[in-house]
Amino acid sequence: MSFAKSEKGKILIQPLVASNPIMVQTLGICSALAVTVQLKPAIVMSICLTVVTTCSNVIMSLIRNLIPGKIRIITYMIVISTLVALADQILQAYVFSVSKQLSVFVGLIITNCIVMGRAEAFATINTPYKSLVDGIGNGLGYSAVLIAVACVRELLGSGKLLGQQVIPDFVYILTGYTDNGMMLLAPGAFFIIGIFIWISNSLYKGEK
Amino acid sequence: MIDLISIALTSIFISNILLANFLGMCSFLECAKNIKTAMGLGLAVTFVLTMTAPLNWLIHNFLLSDGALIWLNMGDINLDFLKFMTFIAVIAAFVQVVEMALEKFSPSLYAALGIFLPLITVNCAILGVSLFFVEKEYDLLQTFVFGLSSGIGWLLAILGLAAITQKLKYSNVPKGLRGLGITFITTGLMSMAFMCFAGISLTNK
Amino acid sequence: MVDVNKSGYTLIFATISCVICSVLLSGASVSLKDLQDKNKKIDKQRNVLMAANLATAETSAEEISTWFSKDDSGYSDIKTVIIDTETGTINDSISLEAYTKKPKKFPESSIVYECLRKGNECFILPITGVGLWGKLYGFLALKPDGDNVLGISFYKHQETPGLGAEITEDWFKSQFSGKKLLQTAGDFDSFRGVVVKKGIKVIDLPEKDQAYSVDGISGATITSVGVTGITTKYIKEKFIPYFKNKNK
Repeated sequence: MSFAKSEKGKILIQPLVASNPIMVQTLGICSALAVTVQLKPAIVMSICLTVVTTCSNVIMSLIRNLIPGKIRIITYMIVISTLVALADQILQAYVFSVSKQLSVFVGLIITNCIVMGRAEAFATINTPYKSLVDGIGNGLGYSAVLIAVACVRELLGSGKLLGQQVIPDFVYILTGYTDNGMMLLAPGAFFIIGIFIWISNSLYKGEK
Repeated sequence: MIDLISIALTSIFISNILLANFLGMCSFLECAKNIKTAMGLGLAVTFVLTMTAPLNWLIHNFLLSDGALIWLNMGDINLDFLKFMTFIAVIAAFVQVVEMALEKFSPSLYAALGIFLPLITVNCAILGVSLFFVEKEYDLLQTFVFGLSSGIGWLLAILGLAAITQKLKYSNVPKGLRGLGITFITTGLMSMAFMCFAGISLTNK
Repeated sequence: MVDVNKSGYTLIFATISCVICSVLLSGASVSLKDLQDKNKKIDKQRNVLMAANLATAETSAEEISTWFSKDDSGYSDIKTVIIDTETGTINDSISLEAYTKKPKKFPESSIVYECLRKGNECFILPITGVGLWGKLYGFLALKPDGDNVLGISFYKHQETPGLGAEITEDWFKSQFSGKKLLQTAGDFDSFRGVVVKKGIKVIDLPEKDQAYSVDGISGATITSVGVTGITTKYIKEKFIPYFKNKNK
């Protein structure tokens, strides 16, 4: 596992659990709750965010010595909003049905603290290659949580995964099991993430 | 008139911007530790929301949306793809102005809010409200009421959470749940409570 | 090395970044516009066809456009007209383009889609109603007699998944096929409409009422009431005059 111990490896792997953007750094919560009702939008959102974070990290890192001090934050915003607007245009052109489901939340990637946070904390003080790895790492950490939450919510809330019925009919009839509608609503999302944080904190309390 | 009241009630209680639409969570989780800070931040967010929503509406309606430039005889142009950048630019500029005004006229509040003031710019709720009114096709007055009541709703939620968090200091929370975990569960319970407002409607069907 | 804090440099940097971003975005938007517009059009047309069970979510885009495309003689399987809802007559003075761009400008008009393909003749009507969280938008398909319902579909709503959002599920929509709107066939003054029933199952209703009721969604009373409003009041006000005129 020498890759994992190497510097690049650490940058990639740390955000997966030890400094997971959602559960530890508390960034990017809004979309984590909103798009995880079903698995498919969660996957698309994860891909979008990973791509935007990686690209923004690389671009910021490339121009890090050129950014004027006074308009630092504004520069971040310009780069990030251009990337997000581009992503939105591409989604509308190629996967229209999913873009309808995601609606305003693609635009909200702009205010997603992860993108801005990584740009400020990492990309502006590191080389482009490291920033690329950092972007991918944080994107993956975010995706992992999003997909996990979406799986639980869709499975418990409607018995389906990716729109396909997973819990067979006989379970409903034989045991009187019913879908937990709460999972599809706001409170369900909060509880699931709270429980995930509990599990993550209990299992990894040493490594922060 | 009644539709304005309906929008207000919906945004504050039934479809609370934070508890039902999940917008504005990041600063919410960070600041909900102290009632005074929560109140200050909530009021600042409400102010920014009430001002930027109608401002963005004007820009969207007269410059960006499909056929909006008709007053310049350029009715064919659709600049809708610029709305992300324009909205966030307006919000950032407005927050900067508020920051400068606060520094001059109320240094104590400025010091108390500290880092959270520039963070209002990236508050999902503010951009979210602007994007929502585009989707819901509200007019100017409705957008103003929508912005104001979304802010009030956010303020209510953050005050509620701050108050509960302060009381929780005396409870024996399991180790893994302390801090962020219990905050989420509390917010979930608050969200459930607000759901009981669902079904209130003032309009005749 | 350039002094990154000088004002002049800041201005140049800002200008160049704006220009680069605008060019990138505008370029992407312009080149992708055709694809996006096509997607939106097909999506809308798909929803129209789905109401009459002429298409599904999986039907290909090519098949959907064949329904709407005009051949050399001007015939298309789906004819789109604009009607005046008060008089119930076709309004030729409003162009389809003007109406689609700003429908709110023409409150007394509505689009009507007429399916002319042999064996599938029907009328597909755009419907709106009020749900729990927001407006409901959909289409209702009627047989040319203005009485028998072929189907219903909802393409835009803000209802809760698992509760109000069940209106888009097959089990709810399929109930509407075969329901009737008129108490006495052919007599448009005897309009009854379809009611979404809560608290009692349709099979437990007296037989004479079963053709005018569908089962509601448990836990979604307001949404069910909203749908009833569409299939009673809305249809009566907007479209019955048109069918009355047509079937004179």
